[in-house]
Amino acid sequence: MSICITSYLWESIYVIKQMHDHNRAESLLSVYGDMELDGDLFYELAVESSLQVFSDTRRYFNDEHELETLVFFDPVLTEFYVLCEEYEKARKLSKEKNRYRYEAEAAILSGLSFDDYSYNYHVYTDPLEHGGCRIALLLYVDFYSHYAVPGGLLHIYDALNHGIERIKKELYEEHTEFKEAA
Amino acid sequence: MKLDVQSLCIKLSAAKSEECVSSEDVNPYLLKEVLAPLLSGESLCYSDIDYDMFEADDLRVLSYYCDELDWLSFRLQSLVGHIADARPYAASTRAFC
Repeated sequence: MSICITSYLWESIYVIKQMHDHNRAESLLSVYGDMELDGDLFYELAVESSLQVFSDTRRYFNDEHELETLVFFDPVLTEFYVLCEEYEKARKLSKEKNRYRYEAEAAILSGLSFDDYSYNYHVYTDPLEHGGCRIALLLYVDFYSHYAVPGGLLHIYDALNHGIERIKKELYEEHTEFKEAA
Repeated sequence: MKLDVQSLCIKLSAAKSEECVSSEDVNPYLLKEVLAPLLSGESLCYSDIDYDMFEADDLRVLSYYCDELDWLSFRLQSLVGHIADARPYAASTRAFC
């Protein structure tokens, strides 16, 4: 008897597990919870989960180049880079010397490091630029690591949130120290 | 090719019954509560799974385990095919009246 269980089936569970570990599986399970385990659902689950991580995700297809583009927008992204600018202004730092930008870049690199070669991404960090702060993920037709995308995005989301907390704390403490000294 | 069925039966009876692929590294919950029902044809929904009972990486280990089982199953089927195609040796003496 051949075991007809493909790796896609485990990948579909992997996607939900990633969301569950970040307390984000509820809405996913409300739709897919009553469905039988099915490897054919892995792509749908991966895409659906990817759309749920950031508050606004836009999805585009380019049929000519067989390219799928996901563009992620979120107040977290904007707040992080606005705070980075405030921090640089307060500390008289250049963007290159801001460790929070460096850490966010590392988190994005790590989150979007898939065991795949058919993808690319761009990060737009200028809040005043047309379109605002966003991450664009470009997936070519032979990209096969969809199951890893939600986990990578969650990693980025958490890192940005953590960065915001730390910048705010540092800016606030600086502000308090300044007031006390005055 | 002709097959000595009697000898094959004796060897199969003498063979030890043991786990063909080690499940030592596989998460016990996934093994018993997810894989076993699937293999026995039971239906399982996504909400039936307790996602706190395993780590994400355990699914990778389970996937490798299933690949090994699948490969072994393929080899076994191939062997069964060869045996099924072989003609048995005729018994030298009549075994029944």
